[in-house]
Amino acid sequence: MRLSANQYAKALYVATKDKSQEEVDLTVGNFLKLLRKNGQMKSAGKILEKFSAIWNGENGIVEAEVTSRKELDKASQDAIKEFIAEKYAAKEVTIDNIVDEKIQGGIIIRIGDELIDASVRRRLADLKNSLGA
Amino acid sequence: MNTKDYIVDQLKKQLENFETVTQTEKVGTVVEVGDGVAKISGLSDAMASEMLDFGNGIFGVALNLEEGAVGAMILGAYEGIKEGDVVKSTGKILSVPVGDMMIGRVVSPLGEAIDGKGEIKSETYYPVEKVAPGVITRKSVSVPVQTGIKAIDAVIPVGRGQRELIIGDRQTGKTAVAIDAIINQKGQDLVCIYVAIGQKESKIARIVAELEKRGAMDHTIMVVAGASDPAAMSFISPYAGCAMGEYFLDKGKDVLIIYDDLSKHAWAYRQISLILRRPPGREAYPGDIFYLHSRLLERSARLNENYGGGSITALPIIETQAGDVSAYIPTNVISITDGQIYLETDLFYKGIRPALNVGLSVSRVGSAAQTKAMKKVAGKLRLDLAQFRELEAFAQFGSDLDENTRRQIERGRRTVEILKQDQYEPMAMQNQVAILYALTNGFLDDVAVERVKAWENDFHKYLKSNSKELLEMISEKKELSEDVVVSLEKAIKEFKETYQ
Repeated sequence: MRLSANQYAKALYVATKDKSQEEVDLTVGNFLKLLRKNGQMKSAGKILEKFSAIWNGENGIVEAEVTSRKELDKASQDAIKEFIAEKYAAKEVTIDNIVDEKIQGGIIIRIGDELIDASVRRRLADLKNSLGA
Repeated sequence: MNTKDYIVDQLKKQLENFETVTQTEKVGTVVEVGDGVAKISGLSDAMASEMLDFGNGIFGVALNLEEGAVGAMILGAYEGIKEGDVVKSTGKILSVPVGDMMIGRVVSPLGEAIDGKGEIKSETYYPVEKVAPGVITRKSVSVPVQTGIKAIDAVIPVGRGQRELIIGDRQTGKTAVAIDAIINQKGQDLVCIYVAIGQKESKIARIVAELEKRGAMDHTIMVVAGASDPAAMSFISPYAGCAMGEYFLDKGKDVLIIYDDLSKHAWAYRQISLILRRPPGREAYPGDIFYLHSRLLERSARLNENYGGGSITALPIIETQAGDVSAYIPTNVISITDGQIYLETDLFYKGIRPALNVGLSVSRVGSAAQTKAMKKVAGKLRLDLAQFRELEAFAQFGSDLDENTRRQIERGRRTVEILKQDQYEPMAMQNQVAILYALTNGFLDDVAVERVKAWENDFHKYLKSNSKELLEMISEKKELSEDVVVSLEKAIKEFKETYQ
């Protein structure tokens, strides 16, 4: 049976969970051998992605993509982090700030497949719709 | 306050009341696009057949819900969609605008006007996919749909709420039968919906022009998915047309829907399914191809009084290849419908138009819906035709046959002649009854076969000018009572005396 990237990632997570540094080194080495044996080296990137998603999920780490018109200063970044930490009950929040002039103002937060659109562009579009034009 | 101030005031008020609610939305990313189908990662909460927003006014429908990905068909131009695009879920099942203002319009399967007569605005939306009415809401078929075609109304009658398949090869007049049925509803209470699925735009333009010319667009909606539209459009168009019909059904009205044609619908669905990598089955159609049509045609129904008493009559069309009715899709649809009108190439080239094969065509419920007058003449007609078919092979022996056989063959020839009818010339029920009465009671036996057609035309003209009351009586009572029969026979005899 062919295993999916998700299954490999899960297995790797379970195998390395709560292990010492040496054990982890050994497990990772074995894991790579297994991948090579199964001819799955090409999906290593995908597995890595899934692994980090699982790791984050288990350890309460949330990665957020925040789009804004200008680069966010420290204070607003902290405020956003606090908001996200509360909303998702996360222990740690990392922010990836993307600058996009087209949103005209406000911010768009994207976490996984959830999107919070609080941009000026969106509000203008909503206003246009509500006026029926 | 003058008008300008009023407008400014209103605008201000609207702006003041305007509030945007920022809420969490579910989004996904396009990972694969091709031939009208997209694969989207994310969208973990997507429902089956939910509308997805690709941005720029392009929508899609979620079809495959897989682990970590959603397979969706794209409604509209998919050229602008690229890998990495953000797709939003809308939380809505695909719906189309419905309402009275749809009548007389040519619309796309999404309910947008494509006839250049301005935008269609509607408050009411109906879901494209809907579960068919259940048993307790239904009633058996009892009222006829007058198609205006003698051969159909007499021999294979269609009732309101019935599903009657029109099947035949290309160029046998399938669409012509359907269009005649629409034209004949002029001034009556049936709302007609013509659903074009993957049809040539030139053909659609011709039909629209013809319907407009005959004033039949006033009670008709055209739902059009052309041959150049994406397969997804062809796929949803019959469901969208049905949803538009259900609006009238819920209002207690009667609706006639023509699906032209379901073979192309099956092809469109096969294309989408194969690109979505669903496993192919017989003739490469997916496993749910039967359910595709059965769930559509099951939505045609006659509701009982407690549920408004409306009806949807469906005339699906199937195009066969070289007369092969035992192919996959034809057999499927034959088994779903309540009978079929079978059109044959041979008959068409013999000049028998409509090219109806009366022997192979059946109507499983329609005869219950025939008017009493029609029932009376049709019974005899059917018998005449059946005997003629049996004896037809002997016809070439001519003089060797006994008197009785020869008479039956001669009657059969005249019957075939009477059942011929020109396109775009539907006939009223009372006229049909009159001519069929004359035929089945032997009044045409002494008219030469080649002159039967002319005799019929003059007979109708004569009735129109000399026996108007008689025709009105038949159309009102829908019955051949003693006195009607007497005056009908009298009229026929009088006509025969004057006719040379």
